[in-house]
Amino acid sequence: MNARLGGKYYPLALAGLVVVLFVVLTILAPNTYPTLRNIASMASQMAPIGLLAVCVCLTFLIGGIDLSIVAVANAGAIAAAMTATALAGSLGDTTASLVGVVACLTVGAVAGTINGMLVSRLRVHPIPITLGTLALFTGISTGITGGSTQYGTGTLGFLGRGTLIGVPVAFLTLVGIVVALHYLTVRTRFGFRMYSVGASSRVSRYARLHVERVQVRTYVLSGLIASTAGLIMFASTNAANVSFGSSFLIQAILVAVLSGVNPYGGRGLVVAVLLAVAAMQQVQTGINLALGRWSGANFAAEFAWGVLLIAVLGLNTRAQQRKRKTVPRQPSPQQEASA
Amino acid sequence: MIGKVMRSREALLVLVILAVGLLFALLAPQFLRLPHLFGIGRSAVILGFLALGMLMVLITGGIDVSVSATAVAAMYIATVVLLELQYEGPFVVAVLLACAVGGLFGLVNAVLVTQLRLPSLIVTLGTLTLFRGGLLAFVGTERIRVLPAQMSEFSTSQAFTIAGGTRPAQLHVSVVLLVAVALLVGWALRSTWWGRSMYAVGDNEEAATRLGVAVTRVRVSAFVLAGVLAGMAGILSGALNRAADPFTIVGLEMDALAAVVLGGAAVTGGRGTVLGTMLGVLLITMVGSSLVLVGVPTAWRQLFVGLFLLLGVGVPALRQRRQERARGVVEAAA
Repeated sequence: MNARLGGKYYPLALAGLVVVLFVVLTILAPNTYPTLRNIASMASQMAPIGLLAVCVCLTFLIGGIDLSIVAVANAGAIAAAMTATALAGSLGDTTASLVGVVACLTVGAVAGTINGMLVSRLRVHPIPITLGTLALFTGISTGITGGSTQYGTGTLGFLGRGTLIGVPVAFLTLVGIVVALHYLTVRTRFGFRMYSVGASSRVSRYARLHVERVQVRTYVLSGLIASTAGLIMFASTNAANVSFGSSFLIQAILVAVLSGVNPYGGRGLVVAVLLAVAAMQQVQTGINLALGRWSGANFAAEFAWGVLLIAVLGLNTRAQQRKRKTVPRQPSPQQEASA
Repeated sequence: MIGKVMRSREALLVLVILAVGLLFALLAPQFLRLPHLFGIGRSAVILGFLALGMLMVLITGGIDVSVSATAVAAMYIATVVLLELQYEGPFVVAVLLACAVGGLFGLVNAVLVTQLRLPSLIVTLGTLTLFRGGLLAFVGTERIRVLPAQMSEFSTSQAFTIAGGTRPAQLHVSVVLLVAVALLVGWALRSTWWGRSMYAVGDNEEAATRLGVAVTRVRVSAFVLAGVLAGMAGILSGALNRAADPFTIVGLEMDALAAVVLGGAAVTGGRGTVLGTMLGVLLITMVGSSLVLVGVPTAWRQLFVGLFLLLGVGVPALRQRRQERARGVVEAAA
């Protein structure tokens, strides 16, 4: 069980980090930071990145990676916008938007199936596969829209900006999905198989597990959640474009790594994403508060994500290597590929 | 011998290039005009250098997606420094400076991957945003149009000109430069101890170590060289476009990866040739710059890059699985 937790005290340390960041930022900006409005705004901004990070976590768990998530999110959002606009005349705004939601999730499921089939059938490492589908999905979205921004009918606003007893609906969606997936990964047979495939696909095969089936289902799940992230992005701005969320991939991977899920598979807890994304969002808001008026603020934030990703990954890897108390050894690419 | 050559990836690529070229020529006769063909060469230069760098890293079993950010950062920093010094000398100095900056960035990747033992994809994804974000936040976001004189003059240095027709056909010097560097790298990979070590490290690290190959040094050299070649690509892009634009070359790492993988390299390391990579670059550039001729909007370009990348990965993987099955390899052991 300990192996599953990826370090017994890690979630506690993460929760500590969230509290420390909150205290520090409250001291630095006592008038603007700890307000209900700011907290609600941070909570709703966490949703898309948190969901995308869940996709990374799920694929990390089985020893893979899904780099196409942002492309899938944008493709889903564009599908939702175009469907809603096209059908608004004949079906009315609300029904058309609901069909748009279905279209968005369908795009996610199809994209996930393509990723899963390619990864499991070709038995090639998912890095080149999902980079390829990243280019493929982006290419299709760019080709169809010509790069222009698509607008919806505006009826999905409650999903992006609405609140339920003061809590943003987008944040509730994130929490609901993360909790459900935590249950799925920790309590169900399918979840057990995911950890098993991630720990060793070869041993899983000897144990007569359907490794391919686990892979396909995980990538479908990843595609579905990525398109949900796209839906929330679209709902909050009523706009969709292929170039949206250009720094989301790195932020999602940063959150996934911060949540303690091992990129080589088999270790970590999906629920830790909630803590990790809360930490990252506070850093983002901190950067915005500190540099808000400077034109280079966005670029400085990107710089920070790069530094933080490498730092967190480095620290995690160090900690794991020290725990093993042996010569530090990472799986070689060959082992990665056959995994 | 001939049969082996015919079955090679390079021969297949040549056939595909000829077939695609024929298709373009049938759909749009102006495709075969010399100015267009030479233009393809000129547009292939930047991708060519990036792909050569990507090839180095892939052979040793890593991946470097930061090459595009390295290229643009090296180009912009070198230009800013030279303008600051009011430099007016030969263009070679600008190239060397950009290569040095690129090599330095490559060294950062190398240290993170080899010393901290982190997966190269995540490290270089990190440095990709780090280099680009750092450049735009701390160096500048402005498009510099006034370059050192010799640098902008380079954009019109042709290797030779064939007069005739409405437009003379001109082959740019940088195409010759790319071919020369490619030949040099190809020779080094095939015929030097260092080159063979690259393949050994990528193919089987354990075996390479036991053979006495300095694995870390070889890995570092691959990343540094990728940085140097990216710096080269960057400064040439600035010179060819007659402007140092910090927002160019975005996403070109994907094209470079597609070219290298099409050319027969595997992300698992130990495979890949310069000739294959150059053919991959040619195919991608040819399709990318000729789509307009046959009436396909350039917005669809990325789709083809994705397809090429997936084909480059998928076809050999399927073939290998079929061979394994034919040889009766036990499914469970795979």
